[in-house]
Parts: sequence; structure tokens; C-alpha cells
Amino acid sequence: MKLYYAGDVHGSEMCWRKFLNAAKFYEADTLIMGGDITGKMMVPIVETADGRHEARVLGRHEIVPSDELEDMEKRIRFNGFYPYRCDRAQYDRMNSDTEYREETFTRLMTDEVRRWIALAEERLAGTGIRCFVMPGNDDEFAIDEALESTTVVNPDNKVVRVGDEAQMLSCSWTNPTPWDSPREEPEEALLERLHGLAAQLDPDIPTIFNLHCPPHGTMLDRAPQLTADLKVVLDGGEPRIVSVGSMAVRTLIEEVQPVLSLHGHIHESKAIAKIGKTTCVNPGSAYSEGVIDGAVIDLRKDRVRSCQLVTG
Amino acid sequence: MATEATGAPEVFARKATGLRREASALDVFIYNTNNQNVGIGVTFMVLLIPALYIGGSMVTATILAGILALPMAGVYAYFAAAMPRSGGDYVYISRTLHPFLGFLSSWNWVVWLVTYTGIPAAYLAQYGLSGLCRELGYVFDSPTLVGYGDNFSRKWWIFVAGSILLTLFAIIFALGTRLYFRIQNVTFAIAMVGVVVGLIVLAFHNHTDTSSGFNAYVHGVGGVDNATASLAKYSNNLGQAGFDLKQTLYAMVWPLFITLYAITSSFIGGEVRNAKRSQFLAMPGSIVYVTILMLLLVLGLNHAAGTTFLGQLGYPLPQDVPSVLGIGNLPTYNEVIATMVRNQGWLVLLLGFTFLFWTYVWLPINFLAATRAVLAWAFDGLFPRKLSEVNDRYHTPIYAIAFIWVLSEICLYLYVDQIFNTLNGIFAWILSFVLCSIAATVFPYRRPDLWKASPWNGSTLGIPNITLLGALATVCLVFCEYWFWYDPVQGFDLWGTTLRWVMAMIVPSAIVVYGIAWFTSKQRGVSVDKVFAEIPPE
Repeated sequence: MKLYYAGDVHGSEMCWRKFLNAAKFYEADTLIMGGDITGKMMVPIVETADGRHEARVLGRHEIVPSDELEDMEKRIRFNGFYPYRCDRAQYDRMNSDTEYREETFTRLMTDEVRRWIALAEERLAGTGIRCFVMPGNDDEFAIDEALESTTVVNPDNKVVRVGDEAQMLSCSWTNPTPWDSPREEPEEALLERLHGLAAQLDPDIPTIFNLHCPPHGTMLDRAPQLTADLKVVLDGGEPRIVSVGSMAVRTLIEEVQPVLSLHGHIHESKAIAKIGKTTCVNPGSAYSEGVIDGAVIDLRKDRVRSCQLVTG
Repeated sequence: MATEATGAPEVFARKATGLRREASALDVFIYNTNNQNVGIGVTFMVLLIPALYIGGSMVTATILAGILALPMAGVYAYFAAAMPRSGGDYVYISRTLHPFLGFLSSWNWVVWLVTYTGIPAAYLAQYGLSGLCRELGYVFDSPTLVGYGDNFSRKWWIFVAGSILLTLFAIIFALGTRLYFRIQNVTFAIAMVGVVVGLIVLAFHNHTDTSSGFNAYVHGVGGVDNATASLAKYSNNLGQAGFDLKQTLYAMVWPLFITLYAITSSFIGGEVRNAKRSQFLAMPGSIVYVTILMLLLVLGLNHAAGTTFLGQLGYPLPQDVPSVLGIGNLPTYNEVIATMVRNQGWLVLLLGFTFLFWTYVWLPINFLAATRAVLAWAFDGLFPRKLSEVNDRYHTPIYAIAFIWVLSEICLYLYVDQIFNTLNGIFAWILSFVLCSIAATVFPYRRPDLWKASPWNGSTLGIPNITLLGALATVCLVFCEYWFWYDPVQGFDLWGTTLRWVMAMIVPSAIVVYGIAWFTSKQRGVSVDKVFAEIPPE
């Protein structure tokens, strides 16, 4: 079995399209998206009185005529942001009404995920390529139902079969982060959740972990240390790098010793590491440049024959 | 066409990881300033330009070096804003031109990073400890300490001191970088105090003070009477001709050796807040700052010592220094400043001690950068996977650190044995900068999507601004290459056989490594071409 794994595309349409084409490109039979698929920013494109459209794009105020609107939207999507067409009244309401703004954002994200899944259907249906797409800690619960389709499987919080050769335990939840994102919980609760999932594993079938959060104390979880106000701690002008992964995830890997453990979450910590017999991978992420970081893994029964990090 | 206006709608962010504050403009400015080693740069300029580039103006050469380095810094600042991720030109060139060219540039970088990890290890003894021991010997009237100063100018003393320093840093990095950055923060501040004190001393002294101070000091540490006369005699009363543009351009290679290296923050690009503004301030901005600092030191030395004295001081061949001045090697500009205040022991020691921290400053920076590159190659399958393994306890890549340590030791020896000279690597290193500038020139045409989405996507007369800047940087760098190639002091004609072989083997060795990686990755089921190739989105 040859897997292509990537994660943390954070709304980048370019990365999503590349993900869908990755199986063909690397001659893989299975695609796994490991979470954090939705974007972090909504960019309102407000219609002006003279029929043009204005928005703040990468810090610049731009006003374009209608025939350049699609190009503007494309540029906004390229960086993983969501363009949202509205009139001035809608924009003003979003500005003043937090609940309305959040509802709009969630609806926009869910619609975009539906569109992405439809694209996956269009490209993968009939190819025989298996496709698993899981949310991550940054993804709101509202998108979960949009992830299911006839071609795409959302394996989150389940143990699923990957063909006849392996089973996969997946979990989108992480240990606490400074951002209080939707799917994070204390280490004890996370370990309990993971133990519950591990109880469903068949001991006679090779196991893959697909856990969004990387294990603590490896090269997969190294990130700049932050202060309470989200400022990077610096030593001599350089960020102080510390381990931010989960102890619960590490514990589960040490206990179960799956053949392969796939992770994301920490974009700057692209690495492969061993925990006992388990090969752990975090391909990192550079989604804002339209580049998808991934890993191509050749799995032969109960061993990883090769694991190659790739930049697409 | 998009137009600019005011009062734009704002964007809305939701609660999600990664939206954090990162390294500020000031942080990266300091990072780049530290890598442009003002102390060592001015040491070379003062010892070499008035002596060997007769008619060359240190002031003009410094200004030109600052100006010529600016377009390249602009290119790197642009790329750092357009592709705000760590990795420097490896990322920029791979994405814009071709993965192999990205690797080739990175390979070239690492060859010279390793070389300039070994060379500054030698500087510690050669330019730091030798002067400090002499100054201690003078202040405490101790011939033993003066003797140590002379010893630190000898080949094996330099090698041993350099090896100890390299080993010390390898151990520090194996234990984690946090300790190093704490040390660096403090030592950078100490070194800057020395520069400020030196400038103040220079402002209050004139040629007569310098001459009498130098004579008294050399008499004290070397036993030679009237050292200035001895220097004048040795150099046949070397004087300074009028301004000579050609000699000034040759001399420019020494300040360029400093100003071309204001771009190191591109390697930590992923951690820089508001990259568009911060990187522009940190790269071109730090060049302006460092150029001004070098100019102040040069003007101060011209004022207090004069170019005739400096020319005669730098004139003796290394093997003749003991007979001319009675000491092991030529004093640095800092030691010359110390002679002006020779009767204030605390000030002499302060100058000597603070200067120590300029001498080796490139060593840890280059060591770290080389280790990171090797680690990245190992992950990408270009180097053995073993080199990416990390120590479980300290989370540091100990095999990569050991690998760089061994190579640096070899480079230290090559320098100490005079097979490599100070400037030798810069000519080849600039080729990477040229490649990056060419990448910038074609960037809007090769990666229009990325260019359009970048913060600086403006055009002038229909030509993208980054294309114009890239072309200007390329011209400036090729112009600099000419002067490095024909430099009468360390240019191509003076390269030894070993050095010529090293230079000639850079591209073939990169091809061989890439070829091996291609073969092994093919065995793993992914061709190395595909490791870096862009997946078609449609």
C-alpha cells in the first residue's frame, strides 16, 4: 500500500487541488488529509455605490471593477482566506454583531468544504483511490457533516479499515493550545479518548495512527514558545523552540506501537522520528505559499518500507 | 486594475492556531547586524587597504559596498515577504527556477558556511587572544602574558584554540541552542560596548598621540624602540597617493565581505512577524546601520591615526612582524586604539576583552545554519537519513552536528595552513546570491500566482518591480564578482591548487549528491525530482 499524507492546508484551494492530484502524481493508492482543512480569515468584498468591489487584500485596500472580481477572489483563496461578497449593510452588521459574523463565517467555511468535497468526488470517483479527510483542532464541528461523501471518508474518532491490509485510528483532538481552538482538551481527557479508540483496534491487523497532534518530545512537535499574550519568546533574537506536542499521544504510541503514526498541527516541525518500532511523521505545512508538504509512505504489511517527505 | 484608496473593509479572523506574534523587526534587525561582523571587517580594512591598495579610499569603498549590497538585500527581503518560510534561497530558487538549482545554491551555501565556521575559529586566537594577552602583559608588566600573545599568533596555537572553540560550540549545540542564544545576546552587547568606547577614544586623540602611544606600547610588549620609525623604514616610508578609483574598487571587497551578509534572517523567515515590513528593515536597514558604523570607525581611525600610519602598520609580511615590531603578529585596529589609552589599564583591558567577542561571531551562526541545511537535506532524502536523527534527551541533531564539526575542523586546518585565505570563499558564495537575484528577475513570469498574491506585486512601466530589482541586484553582484576575481591581494591569480580544486568541484559534487539521492529515492518509490516538483493543481 502506498499512502500520500498531508495536513494543515487551512483553506488553501491550491493545496487542496494538489492534494487531490497527489495520488496520481506519486502513484499512491490512498490519500489521507490529517486535519486543519479550513481557513482562518474571511475577507469581505464589499460592493461600492458605483458597482465596483473593495476589499483588504494582504493588508492593501483594493477596489476592482466587476470583471476583475473573480481574479481578486482567486488571489484571496490562494493564501487560504475566504472571500465573501456582501453589500455595505451586511459588512457593517458583521462588524458590529459578533454572533452574526461568526454564523456567516461558519456558513461560508461549510459551503467551501462542500465545494471541496464535490471537487474530490469529481476527480476521484471511479479511480479506486481511497481518500480519507479528517478535521483538525482548528476546524469547527459544523464542517463534519460536509466531509462525508460516497468517495471521501471522514475517519475522525473512529477505527476504519484501509483496504485489506491495515486499520487506521484517527483523532482530530489536541492538547490545549494558547488559541483555545474548537477541538482541544486537557491531556488526561485526550488520553481517555485515545484509549477508548484503541480498545476498538484488532490486534491482528497492522495499525496506522492518524492523530492530528504530534507526540511530545520529538522533532515533530518543536515550535516557538509563546507568552500568554501570544508573543514569541526570543533568545538572542531567535525564537526559543520547545516541545508542544501531546503526552497522551506519545503514551498511546508507546503502548500500542503502531507501524506508522501520521501527524500535523505543528507546521514548522517537518520531521520523521521513531518511537520504539513506530515511524512517526509530520510533513509540516507551507499552505500560504500554495505549496503542499506531504509524505509518501510505502507500507508493506507490518513495516514501513520507505517514508519520503515531499514538497508539492 | 486594482486601485488604492482609504477606509477599506477589514478582514475577520476566527479563533485558530498560528495567529501569533512572532520575531519583530527589531529582533531580526539585531540578528542581521550581528552577522555583519563590524569588528573583524574593520580589522581587515585597516590592516590591508592603506597598505596594499595604495590610493584606495576606505571611506569610499565602504560606502560603495553598502550601496552595492542593497539591491541584493532588497531581493531577499522581497522573497522573505512573498514566501515567508524558513530556508532562505533554497526555498526561493527551488520554487522559482528548479529544485536542482535550489539544491545547488544550498550546497554552495553549506560549503562556505562550513568553511566560514572553521576560519573564524582561527580568528579567536589570531585577532582576539593574541592582542588581549599582549594588552594584559602591558598592563600588568608581565613578559609571560606577552609571550602568550605571541604564541597565539603561531599556527598550532591558533589551530588548538580554534579546535577547542569549535568543540565547545558543538557541545553547546548538542545540548540545545537555548544556551547559545543566551550567551550570544550578552556577548553581542559587550562587543558593541567595545565599539562605542573605541569611537569615543578615537574622537579625543590625534596623530601625535597615536604615534607616541604606539611607540610606548610596542616598546613595552616587543622591546622595539620607536616602532613607528621601524615601520616607516621597513615600508620604505610608504605614503598615500591621491584618490585612485581602481584601487578603491579593489579595496571594496573587504567591506563587501561584511555588507553582503545582511540576509541571514531569510533563514528564519517563517518566524518573522509582518515579514513585508520587518524583513525590509532587517536586511537593507541593517546594511545602512552597519555601513554607518564601519564609516565611523574608519573616519575615527583616519582622524586619530591617519592613513600613512595605518598603511605602514599593515605593510610588514607576517614572517617579518617579529623583527620589525618585536611581537608575534600585527595589532588589530582595536589594539591600536588601546595604545592611545595605554596608561588607563582598565580601558585597555575593556577594549581587548570586548573585541574578543567580535572575532568568532560567525562561527556559531554558520555552524547552526549548516546544521539546519544538512538536517533539511536528510529529511528530503538528499543526505543519509541518519543525519536527521535527534538525541532523545536534548532533541538536537547530534549526527548532523558531529558531521559539521568534523568538516569545520578540516576547514580550520586548511586556513591555518594557508591553503584557504579569508576572502577565498566569497567569490563562489556570491554565485548563490546571483542565482537568487536571477530567480527574483523571472519570479513574476515563472510564478505569476505567487507574485500576484505577494505583498509587493507592483509594476513600473509594465515591468514588475521585483524583476527590475532582481536585474539590478544581478548587475551589482556580477560587478562585485569582477573585483573579487581580480583582487590583487586574494584574487584568482593567488589561489593555490587545492583551492582551485575545491572551487571546481562544487558543481560536480552537487550533481553527484543529487544523482545519488535521485537513485536512492527512486528505490524508495519516489524519484527525487518528484520530492521537490510541484503537483499540477488541475
